Amino acid sequence: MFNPLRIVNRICVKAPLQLQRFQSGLAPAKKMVVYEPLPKLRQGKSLMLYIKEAQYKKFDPNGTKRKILDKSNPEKLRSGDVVRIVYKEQSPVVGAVIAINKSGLGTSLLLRNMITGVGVEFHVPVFSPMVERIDIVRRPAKYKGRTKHYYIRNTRLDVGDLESSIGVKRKV
Amino acid sequence: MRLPQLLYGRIFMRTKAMLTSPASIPFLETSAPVLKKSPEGKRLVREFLTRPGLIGVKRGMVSFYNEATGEKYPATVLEIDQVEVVHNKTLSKDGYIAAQVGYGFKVKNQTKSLLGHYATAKVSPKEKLVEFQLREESQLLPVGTQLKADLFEIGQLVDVQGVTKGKGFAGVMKRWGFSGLPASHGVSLAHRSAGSTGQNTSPARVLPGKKMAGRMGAIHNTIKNLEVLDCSAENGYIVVKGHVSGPKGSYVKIQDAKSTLRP
Repeated sequence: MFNPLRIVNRICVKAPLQLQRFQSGLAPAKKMVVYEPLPKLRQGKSLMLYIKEAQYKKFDPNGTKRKILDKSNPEKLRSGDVVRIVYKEQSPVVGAVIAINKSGLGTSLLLRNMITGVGVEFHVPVFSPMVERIDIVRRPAKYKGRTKHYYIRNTRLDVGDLESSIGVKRKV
Repeated sequence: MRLPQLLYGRIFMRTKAMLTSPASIPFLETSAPVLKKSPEGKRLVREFLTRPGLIGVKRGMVSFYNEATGEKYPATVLEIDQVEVVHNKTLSKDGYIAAQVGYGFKVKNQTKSLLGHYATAKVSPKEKLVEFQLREESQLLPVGTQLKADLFEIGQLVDVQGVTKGKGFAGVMKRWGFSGLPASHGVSLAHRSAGSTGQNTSPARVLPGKKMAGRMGAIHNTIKNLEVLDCSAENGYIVVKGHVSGPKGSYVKIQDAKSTLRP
């Protein structure tokens, strides 16, 4: 019977192609004209891949942020590390990583610090254009057995005043 | 609403007190009235677009950063590929004005009649066809026009129509947010039940519209006033702020936000 998939004559873009009935013994069917599709976008590359690559290129041109989150990197950032976040416009902040929420370009760190005896926590979107770089200031002697350190809050395991222990003067 | 001022066929004009025979009363001929419930009357009060929109495919979600402020938004990526005007419907022939727009390229399992439809428009066979109803015939675009992602500008608001994810036969707690019955105090095997559905011998029936268990999801849904964060005609995509109904790979209609079309 009629098979539209059999494209007999392929001409340039937007030129009519003839589809023919190919089985023998049947009366010739009415020839259907099928126009060629428009050229493929992005050389056929998946859109999500294209967008993610474009975003990484834009927000992490050196690849340094991706490198510290890379699983295969032995120097990767881990929960328990003390980091300094250097911003482009505001003064840097220090905190201990208690969780890394990995989600591609939306990856964020949960940092904890003790300021004047009060525990302070804040999320830092790693790939935010406001974050210039992330420096690992100190690594623990021994890493804890889990990646989310929520259980240290207000216990004897809690982080101390990191800024005084590191010797950073806080701007008033 | 543009209904004619004269709702009756003839109007009686009396300039001063006079004694005249009914036969000599002057009449003014007016056009036939447009009834509110007629197709034309309904068309006059309905909101229409001023230009056709696009068909997109939901491809997934990404985090989107505002470069100036550093704010982070959840954003949906919609692919715009091979979108062309396939057919225009007119008032005289179809009773309404609409642009029929197609998406993608698909030859397999196309019927012969549809292949003929595409060949008349001189476009390649499409995966999906949708219509965008317009107010005026002058707003229609020529058949075969390719619509690209830069139809919408960055920062403008759009309405995105999709079909929500189907949830199957769902109970009242999931479907309508009922609280269910207590976990203890003698409740047995009815913890997720709806409870009572009505009163007593009066009215002795369940009132229409009572919220009950049933099929949930897989319905048309419009998310209004989504901001366009990014678009590229060359690479064929639109990124809108927030969520869009439906699973990945589902077709969505993208059009100018109706709230921005109102005067």
